Amino acid sequence: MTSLFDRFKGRREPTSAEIAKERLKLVLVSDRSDLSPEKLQELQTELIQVIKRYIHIDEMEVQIKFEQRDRKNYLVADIPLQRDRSYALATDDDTPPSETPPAPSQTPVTEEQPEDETMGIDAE
Amino acid sequence: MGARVITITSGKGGVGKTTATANLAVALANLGKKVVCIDADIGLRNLDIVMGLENRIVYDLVDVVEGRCKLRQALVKDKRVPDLYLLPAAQTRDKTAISPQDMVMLTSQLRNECDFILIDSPAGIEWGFRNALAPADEVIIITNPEASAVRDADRIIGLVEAEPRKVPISLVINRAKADMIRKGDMLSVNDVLDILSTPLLGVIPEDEQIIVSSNKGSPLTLDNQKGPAAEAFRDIARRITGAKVPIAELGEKRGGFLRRLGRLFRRSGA
Repeated sequence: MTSLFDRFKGRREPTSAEIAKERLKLVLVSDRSDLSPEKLQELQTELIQVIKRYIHIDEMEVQIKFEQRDRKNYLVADIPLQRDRSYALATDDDTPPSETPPAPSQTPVTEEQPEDETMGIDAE
Repeated sequence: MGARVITITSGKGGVGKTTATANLAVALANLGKKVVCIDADIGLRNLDIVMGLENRIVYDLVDVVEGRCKLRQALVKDKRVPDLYLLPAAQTRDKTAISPQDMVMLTSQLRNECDFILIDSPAGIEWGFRNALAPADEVIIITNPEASAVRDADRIIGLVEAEPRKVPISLVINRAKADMIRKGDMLSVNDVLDILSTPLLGVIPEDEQIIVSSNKGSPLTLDNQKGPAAEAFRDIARRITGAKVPIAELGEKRGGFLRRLGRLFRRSGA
């Protein structure tokens, strides 16, 4: 969402054409999919809940967005996994990593150093 | 003969559909093709005035559909070019006076009489657009390098793609300004193509002569006039007939020969 603006941050202000292009890309996502930004956020939250039941993920880094290739829209999820070394030992106990959605700030850092492996889900 | 029926549409109004229809029709006729253009904008007819044929209309499209005249009687011949005819829209009726089936019937009567049938679609996505789309073998989407026009073009492309029968779509970017694109103040051709992912048929530079030509009712492509828009329309007409005519770059930020040359000089000068 911020890609283009980030790239130019600190370097120069984006031109008005760049702003137009970025705005168009965003508005066309909802035009084409009939999915409002709020609904997309809801989808992301629910998807995280489901995936968390199976696998450790770095919640804060999850990104769900629409992408356009040719004239097809893709829902693309970037879900970084947390490589948790202690987890390998703990697997026989069937409990999922965390039952309650932790407050975002608690999730990563402390013991596990997240080494990012990215699990990409592409769905049209 | 088996004419190709090409519908020219845009979603947004004022992007240059009618101007493009008139200029392409004349350019195709000048290439020796027999062309009929149909103004499908019932109630807001304009193709007649842009082509300069407004004083010669006797019957219109609705008269034909409702059986008040023969199709042949409603066709206005443009005497300035070999084989060009206009089927005008009705001015005092509304879009619901004809149906998509009427348009299919009408064009099927003309298909064996000419090479090209160009349909000037009204703006919007409703009845009039549906009428214009129904008989189309191909669709040309006109857009401007401007956020609102590109958004509407995207919508129209989606609607055409949703048709059960596959209708090829191509894109014409109208009113492009090289200097603004260079400054980053106008979406470039590549920007628009990135967003719309639709084959590009041509780029028409902004050209004041367009206004002059519609003032006079004399399309720019009429008498081999020079000028950026006239030439761009003629190129598009040739592409429509299958000729390989390269599309000139317009103010793109990278890759332009003059620009590269300019950069080279600036670098060596510094």
